[in-house]
Amino acid sequence: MFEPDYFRDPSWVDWGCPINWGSGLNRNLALWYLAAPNAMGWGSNKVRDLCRKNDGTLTNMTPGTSWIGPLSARGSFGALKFASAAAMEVSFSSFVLAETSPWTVWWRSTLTSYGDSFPGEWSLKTGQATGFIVFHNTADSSYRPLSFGSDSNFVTQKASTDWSSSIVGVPQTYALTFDGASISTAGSYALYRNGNAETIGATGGGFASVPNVSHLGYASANSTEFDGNLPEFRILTRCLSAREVAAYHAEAIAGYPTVLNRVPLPRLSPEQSAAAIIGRGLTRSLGLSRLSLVG
Amino acid sequence: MTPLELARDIVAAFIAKSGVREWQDAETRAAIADATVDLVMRILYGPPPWPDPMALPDYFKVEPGTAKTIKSSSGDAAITLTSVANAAARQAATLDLGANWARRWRLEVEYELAATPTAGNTISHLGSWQNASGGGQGNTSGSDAAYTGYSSNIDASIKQLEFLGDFVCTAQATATVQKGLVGVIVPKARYLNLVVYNNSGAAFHSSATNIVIRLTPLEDLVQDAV
Repeated sequence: MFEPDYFRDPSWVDWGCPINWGSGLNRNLALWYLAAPNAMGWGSNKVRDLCRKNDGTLTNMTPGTSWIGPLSARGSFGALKFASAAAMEVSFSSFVLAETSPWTVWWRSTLTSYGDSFPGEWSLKTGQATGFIVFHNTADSSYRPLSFGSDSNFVTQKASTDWSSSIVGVPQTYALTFDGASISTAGSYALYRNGNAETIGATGGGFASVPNVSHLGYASANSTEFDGNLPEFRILTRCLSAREVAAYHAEAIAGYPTVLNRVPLPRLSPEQSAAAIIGRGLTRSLGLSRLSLVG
Repeated sequence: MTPLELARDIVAAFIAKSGVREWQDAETRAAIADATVDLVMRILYGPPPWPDPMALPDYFKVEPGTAKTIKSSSGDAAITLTSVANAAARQAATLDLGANWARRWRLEVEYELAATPTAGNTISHLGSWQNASGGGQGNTSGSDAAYTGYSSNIDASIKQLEFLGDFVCTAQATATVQKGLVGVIVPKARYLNLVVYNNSGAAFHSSATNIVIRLTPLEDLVQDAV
């Protein structure tokens, strides 16, 4: 009876009021870019913030080709496509990740490449000096799933596992949470991939200042460029719990059944509903096949 | 108690009353289901004979209703977009969607610009929903007029309006009428004050002949056939 694509088809989302603020997962949601055909800036040089606060601007990207549909961005409504060239980025008004209060950065991406000399990274940068870099494959061939600024300033140590083979070409969700306790202590952070916690190593270098997130895709400080698809990016001004991160991941792969507002489906009359549940639901649950009350 | 809850409770009671694991027997299950249907049909329709088995609709379908247009004249609501400059906005007169409006409307536009816009630039559409014609949210007036927000602060004021969607421009020269889908919108009330915010990089054409905003109701149907 129900539309099979109800949660997969973004046309059922109420894009005028897309965020279900009644969902606990959306509490303290501060920014959400979500690529969806015919909505929120799709096809234009703007990425509309679902929170209506901070729209992004495509730079060095071509609106006609940078927005890719669900067939090219598996498991998503769509995505912004970056390439390891031309300093492609989405810029927006600087968003300060607080040093003494919690926050979460959540994103979904598919890497196209992950090479040995910075081709397979994506980044958030602050101005032109420091950065927030994920999948930074440093010159010494160590793999850091996440680092801030230069190679010597990082939050997570070498990853215990080289992710390159498992994430290239495979849609992933990630979350980096900060509990607000100590900006330079690794224990204040948690990193998740596909809803599961990853090991956080010790911090290194002289990292002391919080990033001003203002760009996605390119860090000019070390010419690192994201090479892949970015279906969505979110910032929350609270620290998501492990359970919430897992719930976020489940929401993402299911088409956001509770965190987005949708147009309600038509309702049946009580008699129709009764006939439906008697003829189908109960028949099925009882293991019967002989009732034919419904057409 | 709804019929659904009643049917559920009847079946549950039957199962509880059946013998030890008797409900695992196929014939007993069939009998329970038949008895449940019998009781619910009696509750819904009284004693037999009952109406023929209900042909329950199996498919949701959509059909277009009569479109409403917003344009300079002869439309359902007026908006004069002629020569509206880049980075300027215009508000339409209040549009009445009718006492019973469709849940979803397709918003599409036809625009002609006075110069070649930048490809990828946008003309944004925002709306104030209200229960009566006239002034609405974001300091919209309900009349065809320039829109400047509360105090020449368009960007701040439109945050109070619902973002209905962007028209994405292509770099077509003047005299080409660009036609595109803005999106499928969900009205929150009967009356709409529409605001058109031009960020195309060019002004609208000085003639309103080829400027039309069209809202088509997408009427929901529940029916048997595909």
